[in-house]
Amino acid sequence: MSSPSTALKKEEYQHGYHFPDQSLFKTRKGLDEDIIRAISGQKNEPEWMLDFRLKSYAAFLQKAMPNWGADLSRINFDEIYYYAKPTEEQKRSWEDVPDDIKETFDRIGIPEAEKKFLAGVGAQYDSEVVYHNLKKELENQGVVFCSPEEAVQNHPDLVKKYFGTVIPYRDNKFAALNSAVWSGGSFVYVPPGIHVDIPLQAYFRINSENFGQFERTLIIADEGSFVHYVEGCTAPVYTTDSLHSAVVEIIALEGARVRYSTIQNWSGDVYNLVTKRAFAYKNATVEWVDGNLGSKRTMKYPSVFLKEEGAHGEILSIAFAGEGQEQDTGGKVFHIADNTSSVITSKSISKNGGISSYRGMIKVHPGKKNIRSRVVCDALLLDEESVSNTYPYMEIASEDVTMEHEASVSRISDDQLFYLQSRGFNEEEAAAMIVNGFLDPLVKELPMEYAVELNRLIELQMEGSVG
Amino acid sequence: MNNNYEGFPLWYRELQKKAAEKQKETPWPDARQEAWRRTDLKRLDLEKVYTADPARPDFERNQPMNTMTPAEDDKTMRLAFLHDAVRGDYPGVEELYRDYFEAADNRFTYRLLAEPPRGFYLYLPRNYTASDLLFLEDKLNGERGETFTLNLVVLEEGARADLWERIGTEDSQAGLHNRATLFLLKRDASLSYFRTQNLPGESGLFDFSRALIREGAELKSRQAEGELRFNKSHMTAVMEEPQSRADLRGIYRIGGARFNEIFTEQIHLAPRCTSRSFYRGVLEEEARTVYNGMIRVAPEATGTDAYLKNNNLLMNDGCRADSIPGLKIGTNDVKCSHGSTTGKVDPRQMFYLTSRGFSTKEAREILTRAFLEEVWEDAPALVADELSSRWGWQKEAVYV
Repeated sequence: MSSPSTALKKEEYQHGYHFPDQSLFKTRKGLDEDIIRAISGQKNEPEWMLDFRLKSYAAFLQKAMPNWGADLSRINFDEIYYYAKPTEEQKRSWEDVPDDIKETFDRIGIPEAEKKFLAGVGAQYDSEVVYHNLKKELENQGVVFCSPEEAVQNHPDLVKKYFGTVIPYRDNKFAALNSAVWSGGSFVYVPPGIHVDIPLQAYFRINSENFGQFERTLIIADEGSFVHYVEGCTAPVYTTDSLHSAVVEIIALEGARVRYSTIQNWSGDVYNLVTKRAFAYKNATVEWVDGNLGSKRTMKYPSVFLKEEGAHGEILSIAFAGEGQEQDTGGKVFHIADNTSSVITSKSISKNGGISSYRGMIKVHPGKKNIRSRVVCDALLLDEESVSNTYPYMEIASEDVTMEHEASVSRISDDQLFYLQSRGFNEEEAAAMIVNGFLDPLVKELPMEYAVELNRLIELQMEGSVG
Repeated sequence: MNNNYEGFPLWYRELQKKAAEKQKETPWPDARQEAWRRTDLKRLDLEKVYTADPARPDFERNQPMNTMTPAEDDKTMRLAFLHDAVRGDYPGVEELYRDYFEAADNRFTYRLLAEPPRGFYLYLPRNYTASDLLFLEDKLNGERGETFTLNLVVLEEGARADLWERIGTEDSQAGLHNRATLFLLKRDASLSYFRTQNLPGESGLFDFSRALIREGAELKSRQAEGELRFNKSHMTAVMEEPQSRADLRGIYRIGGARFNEIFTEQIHLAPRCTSRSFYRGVLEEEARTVYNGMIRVAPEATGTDAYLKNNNLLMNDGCRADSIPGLKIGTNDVKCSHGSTTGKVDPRQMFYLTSRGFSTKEAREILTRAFLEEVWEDAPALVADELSSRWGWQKEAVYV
């Protein structure tokens, strides 16, 4: 490879391989209505989707940037390519995937080892889904796992019914932007009573320089069904800022359970501004497992609206902020119905001057009965320069509530270090071990191969951290 | 420059002028500012009060104090009117004013500084120990139904005192009050500060109090908020030097359609300081409360030990409690944590008490009282009695 960015040192960023840009169709930089029409045209979209994109664009122009949280002042919306299409058509089998894309995947160590295990892999290389491989038995059960573009063509009724209902296009500036230019992502529909036993997995990557990735994921779990969806991100290293702004909507109908796991490891120059929200109906459960390791700035607060009785929401959040990074993460739960419960657990680690912030919200609507909620935030600061912030918001407008919140900030204790060193570990190993132990309650919730990958990433992040 | 400020030191006249300018150019706080996002300013008629020019200085009338026993002797405690303290450049006055101006971030505080100095100045000389509980009462009576009062409390090195400040009396006007108490606690000084509010329920109150705590000094603050139409009460403790301590506690019991907002800030600027915030509230009817607590730790403040706790008890549907305990931690050698709970009266405890023959109403009152008294357990008898009588509690049961 002769591209200048492949000259990057491996130690700097393990997944920092960047191949020559092979996009077949790419919009010019910046955004206007013509570009939105071009994106829509490229995807052969029906009129109603184009209308949706256009009104979203109007909302995007109207909405103000957030005046809180991470510093976003360096984002220049005019310097971003909003759409690129890498290969000519959807690839159905691994053999058909172009070699350089395959090589990138091989280097990150996915999906070959996993594809036999996983139900279907929708790997996103630039904004189109490169291939989908859904196992036959799932297709027979009626499970739909495809790109949202395919869903617009093949399942317009489902898309019309649910698309943009959980996160309206006017929700916030970045959700509006995504709604205007979305491309790629996943669409999942699980019919009533179906349990998808193996996790559905999509691997997202950004490749073209300065290319914002705006994937859109919609998961509908019909009554009594179960699905675990896994999303992971790694991105090549760039020299200029890049924007990732996804929207994820989940609908868990009566008695359904949806678990959504993410490990985000964008490279150090990516702005990761994601809106994730779920509606949980009667007796439904939604769980977000959210790991944030990479990116320059992340603002992400997965949320659950407990809309009907018996619904339960759970959010597990891990953040690791290293040098120059700001992880502004957390979770939100809205108790809109009686007998609903929620748990938020957040673990954050800051090192080398990194800033990690927990920002969360628990809201109980007036007069709702028997509400239980528990929030625990733990932060670990690995050195003197690092920063940890906690901003939990609790708005309780009902008497029949049990609401608990705890937070603590600490460092690696000398006692623990001493013990491990006395058992023969050097300081660095001991610190890595303590950090892994700190995150253990969350790592346990991940599928095995993700837990392994997360542990590897933590070890990588911890290298040279104790001196 | 207003001639009426003749004899006042130059720094004061300049600061006052700047504050007046700042008041004009600073916009009303709006929902985009975090400290004001939940503040229901619509309950107040602000334009009427705050578009008027600051009052002309007239120190003969409308002094806000009931109880004044100024002492002239430098060896003992000194209590003076604030305008005398400013004019005479008494110890700590300039320092407190300048710090307050620098820290000001809203129109209300600037306005308070732009107004003529009204309030008291309390000074305790070096190593002086006030043996009795000091008592000060602010009448808060103003010309146009609004008042601006600033009280300064300065403790020299090693001084110790217990101070009870009662804000408002039964005959105070129901106006819009803007006040603050500023503390300067020099090395190894120790102050226990108790504050109760007696304003008429129709009043609105802004209180942005602030304490500077020096090496080894300690502030204990106990505040009982009044039941007001609108109450926004801030308490900031700045641990400026090593090994200083702050222990901020407060209670509120709010009913009706009232609005109560508490803001505490524990700012750690130096190593090995300790701070605590502990606020509890009981809400009834359609009351709305916001508790906003923040622990800030500067990178230099190693060995910090800080904790913050907020518990809200909701007595019925219709009331609303927001709790926002925050942490901003800039170094790793710290022990910082917070806890917050919101809930109703424990049904098992209710069951036990009613099984012992108490009516539901009595049982709720007993549990409410136990809940609140834990915060104020170290209050002097006089102060505790006032709180008990406010809520109709039997006096003898206050102390165990």
